[in-house]
Amino acid sequence: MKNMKLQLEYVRIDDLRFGQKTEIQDHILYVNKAEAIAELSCKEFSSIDLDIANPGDSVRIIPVKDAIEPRIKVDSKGFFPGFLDGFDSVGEGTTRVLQGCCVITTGNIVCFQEGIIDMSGPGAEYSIYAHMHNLVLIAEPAEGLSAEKHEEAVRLAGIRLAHYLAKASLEAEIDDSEAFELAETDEKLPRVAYVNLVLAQGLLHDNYIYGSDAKHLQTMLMHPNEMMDGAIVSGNCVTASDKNTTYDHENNPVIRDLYARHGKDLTFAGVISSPTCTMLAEKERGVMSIVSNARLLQADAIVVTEEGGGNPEADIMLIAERAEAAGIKTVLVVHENAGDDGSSEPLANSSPAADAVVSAGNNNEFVLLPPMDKTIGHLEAANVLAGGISDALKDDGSVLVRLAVIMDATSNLGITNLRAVTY
Amino acid sequence: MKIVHYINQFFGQIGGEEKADYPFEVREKIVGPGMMLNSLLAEENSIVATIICGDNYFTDHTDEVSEKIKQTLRDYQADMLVAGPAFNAGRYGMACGGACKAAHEMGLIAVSGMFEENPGLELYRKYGYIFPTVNNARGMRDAMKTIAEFINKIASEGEQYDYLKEGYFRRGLRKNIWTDSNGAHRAVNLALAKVRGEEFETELEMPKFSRVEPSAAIKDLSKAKIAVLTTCGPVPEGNPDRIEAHAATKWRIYKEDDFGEDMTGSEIAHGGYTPVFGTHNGNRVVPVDAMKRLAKEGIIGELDENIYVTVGNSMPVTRAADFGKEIAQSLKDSNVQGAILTSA
Repeated sequence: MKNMKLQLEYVRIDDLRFGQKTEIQDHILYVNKAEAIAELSCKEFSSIDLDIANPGDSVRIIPVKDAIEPRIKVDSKGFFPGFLDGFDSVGEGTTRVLQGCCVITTGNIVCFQEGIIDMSGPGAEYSIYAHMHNLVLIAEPAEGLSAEKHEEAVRLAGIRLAHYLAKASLEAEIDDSEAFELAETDEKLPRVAYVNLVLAQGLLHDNYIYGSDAKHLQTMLMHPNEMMDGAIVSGNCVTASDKNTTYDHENNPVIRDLYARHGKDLTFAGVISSPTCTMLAEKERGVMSIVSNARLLQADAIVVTEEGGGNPEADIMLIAERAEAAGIKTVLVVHENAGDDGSSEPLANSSPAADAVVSAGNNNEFVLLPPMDKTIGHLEAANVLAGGISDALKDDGSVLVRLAVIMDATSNLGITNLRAVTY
Repeated sequence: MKIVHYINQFFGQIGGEEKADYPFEVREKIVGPGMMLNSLLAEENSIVATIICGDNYFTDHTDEVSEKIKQTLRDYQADMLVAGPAFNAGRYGMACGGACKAAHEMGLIAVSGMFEENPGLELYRKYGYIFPTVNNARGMRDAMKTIAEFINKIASEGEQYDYLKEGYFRRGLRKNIWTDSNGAHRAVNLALAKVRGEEFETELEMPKFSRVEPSAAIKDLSKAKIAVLTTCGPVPEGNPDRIEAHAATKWRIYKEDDFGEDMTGSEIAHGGYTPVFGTHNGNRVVPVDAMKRLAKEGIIGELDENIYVTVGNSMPVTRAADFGKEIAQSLKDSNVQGAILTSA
């Protein structure tokens, strides 16, 4: 029993509707709106509402804070250890997943640090969430609520709502199941570790690992199954393309890829999650610890993903230098700010050691999003979103924005097939 | 596609070197080498107007001619500008490059042809699709054939970003494209290639940053005029100039009074950090209060009345460099000897 084994049981959701009872029937998730809202009621909100956005709808959700995939542990009936659950079966046992379904949280928290999801049209091509059945939380803050308290309230409401939905999966038939276990491999296979940088800059650029603010945590070694079991919850209010959502942490594509190739092309050596802080000494401490852990794992190579942009490029370049010096082959995944026409230097920092970099696309490119029949949230936020321009919102309701405002379009985790090339 | 063709006095059949001062002119017809180009284009693509300009006139009146080129492109609702080809004619190459730049700045496609050593290529390559030619006009037919084929292709298939396949000189611009696999998978591929010692290609070459030489130290700070500059984005209430939260397109000068009493009327336009601490307390991000105290104590001579503000969040480096030049000039014009720059 030394090896950890996690069974993910998928319940496929093909449609999302409000109904009398929160339940899943024939792949349709019905939500009792009044009951769901009652679950979320707290003094921090003056009003709470829920809305539905299905793929293909002429709907724009703005400003988006976070996206969360509903999951639940079959044994404990909880999830998000440290928030809504204890730690007894993290990374093992059975977890139910509402596949194709997401909770989207919104709100004018730090308005220009949130994002857009278009459920159809050109914007939908750039966002994975456009292809999911989304239950959108619209909660207005009580008068006088500070931005920090507002963020916390929306974060907690988001994971509670996801957990509430996931409970319905316990009564449903599963469609598919997948086991995640790092079985023994041929020792000749190259050992690859994943370095997961987690933004911890303070001032609402924060994430929570097992319920704790990552600013107060040190670099930690993780089993990849922990990530799938809700170890990290996003508390980020940062430019849309700069944040890795809670959904992204649950479904981290690097972990998925390394797992898929474990025992075939490589040995998945483990996950090193490390807070990205703003102070140089903290960065140096983090980099030391990342490389030290990678050596302990006897990693031949590491894949490093950035969260944020600009400041964290100090961390990734330092990691490349130290890891390469220790003989560990290093690959970085980043998005770029190469200017509107691609003529600018794409990163804020560089190093000759960073000789293998994957581009997740140029944030600064413009895309014109045509008007949608319905807006969930506050459309006027388009003029102030980070990545919008001051006259982004046109008279006809279309918005001219940089890709940076579209949730996950240029995700630093390498979620989409987008990249930038030099031509 | 509607095409405006730019040529010089020689190819416009005005004259040779003695006519190099020939001023900017637009003709609503096809002139000189445009005939050959037009005959090679598909039916739906055609030259709608020809610009003729002397090479020296362009060099001596670059701003004026660039503006007139833009106006011509607007007048004819052009989709594209073709310049030259210039072969190895240096001044003509510079003019063709400048014409491409004008079109590029309007978001239009520009196409040209030059010999690899033409100085116009290095200066202007990023503004257009410039195809290699031989070093003299005997290569006109080959050059026009290549250019016409490319125009026909992008008219039907959209812009082409594979410079090796298409054959134009690498422009050095970044462009988003869709690939067959996600970034995570490509990253693991790269990691394995590195470990196995196979050849691999980075998707992002490291940028090379230019270095700025610091100016000499101020000899007597107590007599110096000092300015404050900030990329933290403090703006007067309501952000009257609408400085953007991300990749800002402008910088502004504000006075202390614009921010209200003790800078309490400030707002933060920057989208990369929480605005909580700078809102209604501009001194937190641009230390006007501390600088005034230093002036009062005689540690500095005086504080410049201009407060220079922009938003540094995700600012493209080229634009930041342009802002830097403009702000430096403004500082010089105000006889400022030193400046303190705060950033978020």
